[in-house]
Amino acid sequence: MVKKITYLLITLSLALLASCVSIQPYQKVYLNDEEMELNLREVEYFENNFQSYREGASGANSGKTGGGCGCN
Amino acid sequence: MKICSIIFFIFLIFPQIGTAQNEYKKRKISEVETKILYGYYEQDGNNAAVTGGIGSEELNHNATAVIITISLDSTQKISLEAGLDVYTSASTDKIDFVVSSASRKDFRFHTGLGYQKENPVKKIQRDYGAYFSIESDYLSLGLSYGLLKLSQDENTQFSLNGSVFFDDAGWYQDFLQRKGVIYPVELRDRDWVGSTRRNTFTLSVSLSQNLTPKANISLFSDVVLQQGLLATTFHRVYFIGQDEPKVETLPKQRWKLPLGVRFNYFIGNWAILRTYYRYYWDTFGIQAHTASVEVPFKIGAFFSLYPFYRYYYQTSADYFAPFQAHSLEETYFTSDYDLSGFNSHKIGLGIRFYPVRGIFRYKNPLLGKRKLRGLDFRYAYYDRSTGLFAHNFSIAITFEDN
Repeated sequence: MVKKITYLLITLSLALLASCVSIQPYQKVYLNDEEMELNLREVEYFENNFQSYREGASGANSGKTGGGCGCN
Repeated sequence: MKICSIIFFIFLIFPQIGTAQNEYKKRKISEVETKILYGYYEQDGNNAAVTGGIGSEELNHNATAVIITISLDSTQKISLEAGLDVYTSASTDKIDFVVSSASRKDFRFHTGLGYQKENPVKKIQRDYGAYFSIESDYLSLGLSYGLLKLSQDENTQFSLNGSVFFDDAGWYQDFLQRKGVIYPVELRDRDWVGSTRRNTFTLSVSLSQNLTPKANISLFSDVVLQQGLLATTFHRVYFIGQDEPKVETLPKQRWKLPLGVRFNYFIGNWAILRTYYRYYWDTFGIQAHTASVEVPFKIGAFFSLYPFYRYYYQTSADYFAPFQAHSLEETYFTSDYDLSGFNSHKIGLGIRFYPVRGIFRYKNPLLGKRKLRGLDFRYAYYDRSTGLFAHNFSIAITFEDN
């Protein structure tokens, strides 16, 4: 399963790079909107921490990935 | 000819006409940005790990953080972060069975220092970070390094991050004085775990791409290795036909492999579709799928309202069994329902208000003219199929130089 997902992501990455269309700066009005950021919102910082305590899975969301007990 | 003369005359008197639209407005780089974050979390359930998978999971947690970012010049920034978490927990109160004892309340202090250097010609950014946190029974030290590379047209972004955390679950009840780990009161006659140290090594890779003028995508992957004490020493585990518990025992090594993808799309001029999917696998036997969707509606240029929904599913860890369901022959055992098989739903609403000129301006005696740049509020309700439910409320407030 992990292998399949890894291959899928590698294929997706290559497809992304291969299909790159150069978007000009004047076309980036929508992309530059703060809601289009490809990260967690800062206001989600603690919510994401609490969630990682209550669930077995964590990571792959551009946040911190270690440190602290999280045992409460 | 007469008309041309009139137009020429008008331009001579009002030279700013015609250039006003293209005039370059010099905008000051914010020298000091301050962010204040606050989160309130409360939960309840009936599967506390401290009491072997039964008992109240009631918990209240107040978390705060202040992040100050100082621009040294146009390419360098330093950031300082400090925060304090205070929580009360019904289950940790059962470590020693003395109701309302010191174990019911606890705190965590955390701080971090970061430095960021950007090379605008090569479009490379480097980040360095150091972290420290302490709880009554837990100390953590961390270091991180990040490298970010933008393509020349700034449509592709590649980043590589590495971090190490050196933690110790030795009990630092008296400040920085080592006391050993906390065991349940009836199990303190022997050392159950040996070393109390836990190290975490993480390598993160991400690739982001602008797909169209209204769509972008990002792929994330982490490889995480945890070594050392991975069990929580005050968690009890009860066995079939036995009244006497043991301390939770888990392998000394855990590999984690999460792989995620984010896709954002601007729908028309007033709504955005923000989606996320993650697949997770680890050597404890957990596999998990996470999917979330968020739709910010833009009400005016600076105000947005965003409902969101998140679904999560995980398989049980190989070492999990409920109360009195473990066999004495097992090497590793836990009754922590965070490691059981379950699914969860999270639903909520967020509000974001960030006017270009800020919400209001004021004068700070130390920092001069400042403004309240923007506000973020967010509420989430979390429901887990094990019966646990939680409410979470968060605020982020940003101040900047005026």
